[in-house]
Amino acid sequence: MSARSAQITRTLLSSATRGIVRSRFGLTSVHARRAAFAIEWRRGFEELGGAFIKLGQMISVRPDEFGDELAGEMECLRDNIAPVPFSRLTPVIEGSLGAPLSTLYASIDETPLATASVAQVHAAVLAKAYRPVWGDVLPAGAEVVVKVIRPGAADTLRTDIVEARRLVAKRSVRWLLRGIDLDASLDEFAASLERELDLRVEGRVADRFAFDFRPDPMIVVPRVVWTHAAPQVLTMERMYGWRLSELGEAELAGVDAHALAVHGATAFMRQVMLYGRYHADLHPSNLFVTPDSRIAYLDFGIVGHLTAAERGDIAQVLAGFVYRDADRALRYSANLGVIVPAQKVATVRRELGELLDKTMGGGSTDFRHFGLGFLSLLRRNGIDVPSGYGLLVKSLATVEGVARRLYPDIDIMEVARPFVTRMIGESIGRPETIQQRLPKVWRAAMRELLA
Amino acid sequence: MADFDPVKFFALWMFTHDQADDLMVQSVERGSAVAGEGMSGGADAFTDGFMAMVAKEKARIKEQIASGKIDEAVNPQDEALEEIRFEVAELRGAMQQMQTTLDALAAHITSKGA
Repeated sequence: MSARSAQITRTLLSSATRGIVRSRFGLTSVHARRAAFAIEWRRGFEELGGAFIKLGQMISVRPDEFGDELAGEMECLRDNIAPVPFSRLTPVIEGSLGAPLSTLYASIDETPLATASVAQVHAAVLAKAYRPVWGDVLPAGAEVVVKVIRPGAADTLRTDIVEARRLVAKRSVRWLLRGIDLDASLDEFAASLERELDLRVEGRVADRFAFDFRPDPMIVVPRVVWTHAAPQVLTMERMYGWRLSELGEAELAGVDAHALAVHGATAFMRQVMLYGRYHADLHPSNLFVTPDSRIAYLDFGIVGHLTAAERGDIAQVLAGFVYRDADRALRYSANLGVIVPAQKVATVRRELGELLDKTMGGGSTDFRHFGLGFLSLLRRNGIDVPSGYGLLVKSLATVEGVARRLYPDIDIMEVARPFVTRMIGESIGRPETIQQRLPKVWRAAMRELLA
Repeated sequence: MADFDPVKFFALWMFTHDQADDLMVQSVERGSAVAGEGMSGGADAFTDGFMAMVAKEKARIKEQIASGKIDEAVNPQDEALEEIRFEVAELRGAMQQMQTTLDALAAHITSKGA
């Protein structure tokens, strides 16, 4: 057994033991027991660092697979890693970009702006002007950030994946985490880590977002400097403003918080239902509010993709939620892979109707409560939730949380209502929809008339 | 077959029209109340919401016509052109990045040789 393997086993065992004690040896309610274990798993993951930080972040966006308690707790996960000395990053940057730092940048700050388990970010100044893929030219002297993969990070993460695979192969672990598809989750996690270890992937997504949002002056996406990019290094325009997590009353006083919150939520819906690409890791640290009241997107590590058919079905599911129409929501969820067995349709329909009335009716809505409740309802009834569906519901719940940080009284469903109504309305006018629906309309009208 | 009675025909036509109009107005009213406490939810709620949106759009068009300021339609050809421009720019970015990697490799080989 390697030292890392021993450390992982020891830490996770210790977390499980502390979880048992915290949950008073299981003599508490199911929710309290899960919450107690979730706290200890989160602490264990923080202690282990490396891939476990990333794993925790992935769990935090998948309440459908891992449960509300664990996903909610993992949102509080802190990456407590110490920064790497800049002298160790210099060879990575120079080796990846094939030139000395002094040629690449007019200056680069050796103190990091941000440190995480995979990468470290430094502020720099561009030596030469650069014409980005989209947007205005970045002039010489433009302020940029340089994101660098930490030396050894890839090896550590890959080793951790191997150890995690070894661990989940054990019968006791499988029993402890029963109900979770461990192999599929680990495969998905390993694939997402590989993507994250190649910073060019993030750069390409940023460019695409910049293009998608080109007509929207309120959304800003940092421009990528491709001459200063490699799998381990990414140079992007520096954004100024406040992270949503840092936004206090003083900062909010200077911006139109309501307009920003509504615009941010609408921008997300456009990503999902128009562009088919959405930022699936929208926690308050990944969003900036600029001093000129614009929203800047950062960190495109987790991105969801949707086909045109999926986008149409999502609009219909959302319309089902917005208009409290459980049948519509379930009918179109089936197209997205949420298959309710015939014998459970009545129960799920009734429970969904009750949940919609409780969380989305009576003048105020709570999408987070609804979304997580819906995923838990499906899980309770033994219905598989495809990963994309779970990620989307969680992302919508997060968008509501983010918008409420800006403007606590925002009703996300009020924002969604005109959007989905118009989307579905537009789809009715398509020739293929008319061709498909008109015979049914005619038959229904004649049936009613001749009844 | 009885002779065609135009009065009766137009009366029926007018009656149908009135009925449809009343139903539409009621639907718009229900849909407009959605923002408040009025929405009961269910299968018809979407239709009401949709009709409310149609009524708003009608009001907007009416206002535009009255003011003489008509929206300019987006030219789909411009959209397609933008998309191609982006793809070309994306390729340029990818080529620049590849050139950087190539330069880095060459520098690495040269330094090893030296």
